Amino acid sequence: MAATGVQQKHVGGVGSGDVGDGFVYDLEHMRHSPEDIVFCLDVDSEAEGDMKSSGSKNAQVSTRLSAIKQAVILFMYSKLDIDRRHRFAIATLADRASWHLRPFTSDVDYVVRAMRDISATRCYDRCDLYSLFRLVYDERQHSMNAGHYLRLILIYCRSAVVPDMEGSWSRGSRHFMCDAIYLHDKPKPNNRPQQVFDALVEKIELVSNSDTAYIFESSNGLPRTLFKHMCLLLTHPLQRCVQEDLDTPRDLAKWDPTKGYCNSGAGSSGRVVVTNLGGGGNGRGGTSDGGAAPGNGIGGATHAGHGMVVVLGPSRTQQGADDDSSPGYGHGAATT
Amino acid sequence: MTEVFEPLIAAQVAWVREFRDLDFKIEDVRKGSENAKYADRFTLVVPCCFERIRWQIIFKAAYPTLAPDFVFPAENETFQPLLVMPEIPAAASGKVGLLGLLRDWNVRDSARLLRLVLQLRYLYLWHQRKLVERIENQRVRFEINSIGAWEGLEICLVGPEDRPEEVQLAIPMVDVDLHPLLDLRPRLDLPGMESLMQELNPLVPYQNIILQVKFPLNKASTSSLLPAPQFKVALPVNIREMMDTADIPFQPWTESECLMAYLINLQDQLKDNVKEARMAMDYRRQFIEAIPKVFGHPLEAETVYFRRFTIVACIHVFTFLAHFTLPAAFPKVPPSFYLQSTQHFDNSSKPLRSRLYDDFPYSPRWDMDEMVRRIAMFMQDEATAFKKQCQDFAKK
Repeated sequence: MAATGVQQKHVGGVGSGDVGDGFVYDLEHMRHSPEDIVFCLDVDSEAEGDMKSSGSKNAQVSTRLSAIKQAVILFMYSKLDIDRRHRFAIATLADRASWHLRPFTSDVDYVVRAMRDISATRCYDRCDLYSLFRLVYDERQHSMNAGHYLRLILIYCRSAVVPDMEGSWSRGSRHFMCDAIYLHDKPKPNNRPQQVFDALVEKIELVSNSDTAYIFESSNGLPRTLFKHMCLLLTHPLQRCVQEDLDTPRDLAKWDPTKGYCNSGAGSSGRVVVTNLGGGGNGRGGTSDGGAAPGNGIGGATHAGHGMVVVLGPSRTQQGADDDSSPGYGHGAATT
Repeated sequence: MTEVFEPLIAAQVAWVREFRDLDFKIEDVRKGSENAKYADRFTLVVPCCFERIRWQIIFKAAYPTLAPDFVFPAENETFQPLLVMPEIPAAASGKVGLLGLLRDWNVRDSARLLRLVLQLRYLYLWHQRKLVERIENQRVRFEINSIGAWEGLEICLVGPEDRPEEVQLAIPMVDVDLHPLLDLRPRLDLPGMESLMQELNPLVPYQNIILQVKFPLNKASTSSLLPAPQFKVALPVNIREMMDTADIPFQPWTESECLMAYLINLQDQLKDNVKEARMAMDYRRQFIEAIPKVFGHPLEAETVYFRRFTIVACIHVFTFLAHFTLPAAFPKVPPSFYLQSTQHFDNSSKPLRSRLYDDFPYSPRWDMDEMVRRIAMFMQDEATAFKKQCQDFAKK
């Protein structure tokens, strides 16, 4: 994914069933291996921010942290249903990162019990991602020896603390995949979620061993959005397209067996054109719900000369803040 | 609390545990005395033919450099490995050198215990073969003589030596070529294991389809009449993902038939089964490759045997996963899948799942695109119903 320069990428049209130009689903030449996945949970007090009611009596997801824990549980059960060999570990991120549970394990109950101890009661005015990347990097040999692919999933919750790197990371040291989910408040005078997001993108690009890292962000406070993003992170790193080409989840309610996916909600052509205006864009379309797609200005604001602009068909611009509907094909909120 | 081995002993045990061509099990790990810091003895479960025999292996944690003792079960009291050894050709060639291994025991060679166990297993099977050859039953003798030179053959006697109950044979189907299917899933052996395997041949059992034959012995076992043998096929682990033993129809055994002729016919049949298994792999791959046209890219697909994949989809705001399994006999047998909610959980925080669906409209004669289209049509209705079930559950 290019970080600078003009870049246009067309996603396949509605109903055609075509995949993105840059990604052909050729299973014969794809690889697969079990994964070692580190979840890093932000334990700043902003993680105790409220989530909207899920309407479900048995899902305890009233705060960001409780929703994140449930999302991690959802991820683990889902991942193990796909392949029982995947393994998990937990780290927490305060001002620095530290291990909460290791070594890697496939025992979901064990991880769930360990996560119960995690709370987020303190405020931290800085965040060193270098310490986190270093923790994960040190596991690479063990994972390699076990034939497992190493991945980090960071879930970050601070709207005003821009993560930094208190150490120098060599671009040659890209030995694991890093994905992220960013839960944040809407932009206000006393916060800077756009800067936080841009910093996350920059740091993740520095360490990820592939240009298919995924970063999702959301400010709508809906647990189901978080759960959906977590499910998209189930995508195996060795079988991914770049985020701009992500073509799931597709809405079967909008699929006609004879015509394919209808155009409503997907723009007149169903095409998503991603244009970098230059100045260090992040090239990420993402699947943000409620807010703008990441990289195009969180909360709808476009920063001149900074970030990406997502230009969609006209019907996409009607998506409201709480609209979680996915169009029949393609996704992402619309702002220009 | 799990007992921990003394580190040098632990390294020896690790090689036995990690040996992939035989399913050794380590049980009953214990210390020599209550106050000892480390465990130094255990029960080793050794697969032989298709029995599992249990040997006690006793080290001395205080002196880990000493060679271990072996204790064989009471029913094997006639098994004297050092006496058996001179009789076997492998000893003459130096492949089996039990005395040398014990006399020159070197605990820092972490594979030493594995070598010792494999040699003892080989000697045990030789001893068992000699016991079977002494059975005074013409039919058994005839069959053993006719296939005695079969490569990789293992023979065991079940029951007391003076009143044996059955003769078991494990016969590898050596003419059935399983490569490269056998090697599709990469092995993760300890460093040095591969060269050790070459060194240890023929002590290492065949990795192939194994025909298990059981000859029950009558009480009056001197007669030439025996009940018909029982047959069963055991597949190597990698092959189980591609073939189902239920799909291997055994020809009925006739009294006038001999085992050698039966084996030759069976091998021919298995070659056809393996060929079909290879073709089925291609069909499964093609099916998964047709999925993105309707469902978008799968989240993850198993890319060795193409047996499993998962997709994410939605019905409006209800996002769900669908976990698919493609049977070994696809497309003759349809795929199956179940749905999993991403938004609804039970009281243990587990995501809610649907029943298993394998009753959707299907025909093996459809092309892959049509199969996917029909599944999508079915899923439209079922996912809507599943969403309602989840919502009803959540309200309770």
